Amino acid sequence: MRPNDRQYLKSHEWCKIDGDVATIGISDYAVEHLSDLVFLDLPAVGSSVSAGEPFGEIESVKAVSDIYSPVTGEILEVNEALPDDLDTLKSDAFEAGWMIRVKVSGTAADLMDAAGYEQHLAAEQG
Amino acid sequence: MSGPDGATLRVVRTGALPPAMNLAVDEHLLEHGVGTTIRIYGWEPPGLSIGRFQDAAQFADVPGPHVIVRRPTGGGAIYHGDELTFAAVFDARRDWDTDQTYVRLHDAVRLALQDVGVDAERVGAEAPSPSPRAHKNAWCFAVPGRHDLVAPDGRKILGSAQRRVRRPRDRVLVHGSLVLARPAATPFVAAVADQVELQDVRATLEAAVLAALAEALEPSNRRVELPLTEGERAAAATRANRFAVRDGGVAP
Repeated sequence: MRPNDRQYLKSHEWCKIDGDVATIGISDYAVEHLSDLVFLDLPAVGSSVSAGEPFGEIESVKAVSDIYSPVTGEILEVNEALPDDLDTLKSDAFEAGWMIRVKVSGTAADLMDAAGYEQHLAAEQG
Repeated sequence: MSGPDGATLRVVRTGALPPAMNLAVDEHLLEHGVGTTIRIYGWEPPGLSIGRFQDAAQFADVPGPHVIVRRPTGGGAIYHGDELTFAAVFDARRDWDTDQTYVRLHDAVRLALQDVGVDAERVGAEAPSPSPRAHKNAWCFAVPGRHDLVAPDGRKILGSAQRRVRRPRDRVLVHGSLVLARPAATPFVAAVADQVELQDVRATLEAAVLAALAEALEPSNRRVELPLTEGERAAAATRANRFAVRDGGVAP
């Protein structure tokens, strides 16, 4: 079971909301399926993200994927060390592997809890 | 919206377009296309494309006239001279992860090459991945990696890369560059012309690659040639600037 203190998108991002601040990252499942991570591009502090829209990109060996925001809001903090230490995503996708912190003004309509995300993974894996 | 319903496979032949426009058309088909599309095209003027996160400055002194563009897909830099370029765009499917997508499409291209008398082998999954540092400055064709197609002398003959989007739904773009004649800028690549007379196989090979990709992607779908609509061209043109790194090039 993935952490149940947060919510998930089908595209494998998670967000943990404390008050009006959301911490956002991608799940261990996403990391495992991307494999051989090469580059991570994250936005700057002060920029805006929109729920359901891409906020970053990640490249594994020869595939680039968008990373989508579960929330709408302004970026307060970025995990600046993460792009230079992508192994952190492999070892701890849910805590040390966080990507951005956002002052939340709205959330995606299709957020799932951990149980819903597990069901989605089961369906995706067939 | 573009493209056919699920029972057809769309084939788009745009001929040669400017490099940034080529990438813009492919990204538009990824984000707004419907079903499966295979696009076959060329580059005019010649282009040097770098991977999504590569450092353009590393390629600023490459000889030969060309425009540098940044692909939406990953991987290393490619000098697009005389080559057969394709883009395959389709809805993600359960048993086609990134690796399997390369395996299936590269095997299709290998069979097409075989049809015209060109030998190539697919590198096994055990081949090492490039290091991030090497990757940033690397030519796509410099070191064969897992699943790559190589000529009998071990040099790479097909370069390919993927971009995946998951919203509004899961779609995949695969770029493939099959080298017909070796560009002066990248003397380390293998080329179709190493094994057969190009003029004898050029048309046959294009048809064979198209047929083999179609068979791999949509074996039971009818193939329909549908040129880009005016709307698609206009939409692509508005995003083309995003891919340009610099215009012009260093004189040969």
